[in-house]
Amino acid sequence: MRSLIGAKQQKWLLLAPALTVLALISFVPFVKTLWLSFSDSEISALPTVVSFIGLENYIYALTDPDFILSLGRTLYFTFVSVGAEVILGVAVALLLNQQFRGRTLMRALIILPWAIPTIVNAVTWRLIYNPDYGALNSLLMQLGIIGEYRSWLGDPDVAMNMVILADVWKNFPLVAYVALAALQTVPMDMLNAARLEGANAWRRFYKITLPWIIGPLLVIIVLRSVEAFRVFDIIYVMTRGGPANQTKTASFYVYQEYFSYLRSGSGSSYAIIVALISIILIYGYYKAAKRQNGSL
Amino acid sequence: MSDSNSSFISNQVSNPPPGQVSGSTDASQRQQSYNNANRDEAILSIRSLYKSYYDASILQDINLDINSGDFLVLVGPSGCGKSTLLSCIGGLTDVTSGEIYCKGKDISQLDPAKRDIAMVFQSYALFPNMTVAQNIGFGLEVRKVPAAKRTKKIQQVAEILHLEPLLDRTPAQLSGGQRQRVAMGRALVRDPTLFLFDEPLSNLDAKLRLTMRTEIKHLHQRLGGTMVYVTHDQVEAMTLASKIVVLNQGVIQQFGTPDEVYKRPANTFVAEFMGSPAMNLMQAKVLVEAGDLKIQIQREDEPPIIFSEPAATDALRAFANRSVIVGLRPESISDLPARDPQRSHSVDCRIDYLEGIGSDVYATLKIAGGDVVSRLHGDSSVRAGDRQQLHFDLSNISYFDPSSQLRI
Amino acid sequence: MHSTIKRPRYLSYLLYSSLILLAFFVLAPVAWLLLMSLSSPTDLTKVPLQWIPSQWDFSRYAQLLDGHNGSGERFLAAMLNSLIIATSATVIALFAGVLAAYAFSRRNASMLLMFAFLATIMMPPVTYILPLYSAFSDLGILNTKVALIICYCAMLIPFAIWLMKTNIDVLPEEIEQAAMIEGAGTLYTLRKVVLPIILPAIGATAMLSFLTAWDEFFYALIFSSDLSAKTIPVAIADFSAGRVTDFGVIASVGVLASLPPVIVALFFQRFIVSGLVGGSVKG
Repeated sequence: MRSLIGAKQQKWLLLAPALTVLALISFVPFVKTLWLSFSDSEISALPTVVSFIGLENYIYALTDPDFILSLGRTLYFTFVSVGAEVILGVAVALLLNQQFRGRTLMRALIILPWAIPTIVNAVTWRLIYNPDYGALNSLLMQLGIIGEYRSWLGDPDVAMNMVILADVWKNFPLVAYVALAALQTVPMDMLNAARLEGANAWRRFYKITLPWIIGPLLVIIVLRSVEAFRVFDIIYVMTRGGPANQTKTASFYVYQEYFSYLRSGSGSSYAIIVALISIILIYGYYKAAKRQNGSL
Repeated sequence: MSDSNSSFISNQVSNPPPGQVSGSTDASQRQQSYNNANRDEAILSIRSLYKSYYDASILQDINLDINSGDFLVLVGPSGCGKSTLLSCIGGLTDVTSGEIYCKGKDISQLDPAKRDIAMVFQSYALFPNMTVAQNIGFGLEVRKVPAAKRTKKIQQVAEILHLEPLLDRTPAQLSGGQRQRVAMGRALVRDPTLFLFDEPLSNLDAKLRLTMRTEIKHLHQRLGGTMVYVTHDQVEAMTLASKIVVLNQGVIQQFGTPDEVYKRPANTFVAEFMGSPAMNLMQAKVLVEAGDLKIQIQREDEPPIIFSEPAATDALRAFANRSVIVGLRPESISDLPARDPQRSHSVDCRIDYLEGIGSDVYATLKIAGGDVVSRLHGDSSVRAGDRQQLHFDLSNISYFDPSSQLRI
Repeated sequence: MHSTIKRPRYLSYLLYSSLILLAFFVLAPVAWLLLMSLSSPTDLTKVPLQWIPSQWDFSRYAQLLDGHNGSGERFLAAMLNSLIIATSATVIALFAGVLAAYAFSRRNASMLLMFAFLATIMMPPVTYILPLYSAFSDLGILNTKVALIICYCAMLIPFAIWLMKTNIDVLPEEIEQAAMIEGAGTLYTLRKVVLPIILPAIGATAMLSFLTAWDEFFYALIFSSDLSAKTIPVAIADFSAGRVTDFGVIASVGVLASLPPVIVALFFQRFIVSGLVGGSVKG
């Protein structure tokens, strides 16, 4: 209803600083990457002639089994870690929503993993997983679960899951906090009414609590998926993509294409494919957020 | 204050009530009455102001002039556009078309900051992060008034509004009435051309509302600023205003003094909206007997009420042998005889039910198929179902055209 | 709110054992990092491990906090770089963010644009990195703090806008209208009225922005090559990948690098959690 005199000019003036930064640092580079992906450009110290080669890079990328495999691994990482974070996060939120002594302390405590920097988290877990002197080996051995020390990150069959565990530890608090905040908005009257109607705890959760918190949960699920899909730092520190490329995710793949093999043209086409998948996830975020907030 | 010197026609119907097709010819008349001379004399003039939002028309063809020292009240039911009109004057909402002149200068495209206007908001809109003194002095600070002068002015205003002991508090530490006073202080301190009030009393409890109403009235009389005041409360409008604009669905229904609006409502909407209980509207027929005009009001199972209308205008005569709507206020139907015996008409009526409010008793009776409320003396011993001789005081009777709903 | 129904005993057991498990899961890695930093190298290389150090060893901390030896110099330089870069980026992002947030909240800027802003930070950084690299190289600012500050601004601004927008949205607009009627322009109103009111939200935004910048690794890895610009995450990666054989040193670096964010997170938990949760939970 209200609109203000001169609001339009003011709007653009107010947006100008943010718009300038984002245009120069995000938008222009994106367009340039897009352009490079249709070229045979290479990173070199000498000025070279760059020619337009159409979809060649894309055809190459989509027929490159290593790249396709890395995309699959990235999706595996995304689904498993976000899935585990959601299950663990919601369970923890339900737990911390109960009445017990020391609740405030427990709620404060779970911010700890989130606050530890990603790289410190990666380093810590790498030390824990260490094949010779790691805490995990020692603990499992002392508990009699394993007979001899194992190389957790050196075993192609388990390395990815070990990385995922480290990622889940770091990121489940975020889901837990969102779920907890949502749980606190569930009307007690509704739960009490269901209790009087004779609904058991599982039924109450399934029929009342879950539908109530699903909106916010969906937003954080998609947001976490977007983040997980571009995973790089934890891989870089823990495994560098090994063993036998078993933890080589898409971002890491592009990184190597650029900075190890110096192929900027084909690297860009990989980057754009990764970006397109991200855009699908981002669109999912848009839908979930819109559903939750009405506008955005 | 001085309504008599305003030359424009104040009792003019701008438009028929909504729902009626405007077939009136008063557009040209209106153009004449709102001429440039008025615009230059008046402190605030609005000329053919329209405001629409997408397809919805919120204000239509608003025209008015007020003079320095006027207390203009915009009144109407919720959603009638009165707050939007105030917002347009303040510059918080842009107008779709039309002009707003302040001291003869068109301000309709001007930034609110440059309009020299102060506003008191419904929610008070005090700055929660500032003390009372800082709130009051905000406008002066913006204008870079030196600190010493600022403090002096804040002191003066605080004194007028009895805010001296509260100057160092924050709004959160004040009661509703005190916040209201601070909001007024913030407006008063700058001595602007125009004060705008957006339902300032509606958040107060009933008792405080009365006190503050009196206080605003006193302030206006003492300081003599020009006010534009929005309310949905017609009692507030009657008590405060020197001019009233009655709005309905974005159209001015009547613009006049409280007395005119009350005694000579321009149409049935105004008749029913202003006054509590509302004006009684009754279907009647205009008869001519031997050159004399007589008004006949039908009753069920009882003889009709017939009285003569010696003061009939030509306009009313034109309705001879046709029906009209008769409007009489509850206080014009009483158990006490009217002051002017020439204009009094007694009728024997059956009282349906009663509502005592101490000083008066409102008695409801059935006339012409509808409920009619009459005001009896507080000591009346009449009971529901009784018959009672009632005196119709015809000195302030109103007639309306049943098809256009306009005053005859 | 307090439930008057007493919990059955078996549920109590279940509840408290789950809580102990949770506390262990959350605390164990952190506790072990701390223990490693204080254990002697011999304790750390025992099989199975000597969990509680036979003697407390503070030598690594002394070494790291002493700028006169190699690892101390590298560590302190990286901490200082991180501090400068994260603080500068936060300040700039808050400034640009609050203006834009006001445009979105009060001047009808399109929500689609808001979403486009958010989308830029959701994209994988590999989509931007190469053109940025060549642009910074052309400008001669590779391996400088400025390059990282610029990148981090772009990373922080959309998030800052979003957080502050949600906080401005819930303010009663009449307060700003009152300021404008009183003669204040938009910037004056922002500075004197809006910002003081949303100060807690600005605080939360500042802290989250700072932590995000402190945490960033990818850009820092690519754009910095020596002590003049390397941030603490890159330094840690170097330490852990390099010749350092003593886990205790790596752990000490980890502990020290975690201290600023952990302290901020624990002390301002309420603020931060409300900021984190803000976008997804309504009301």
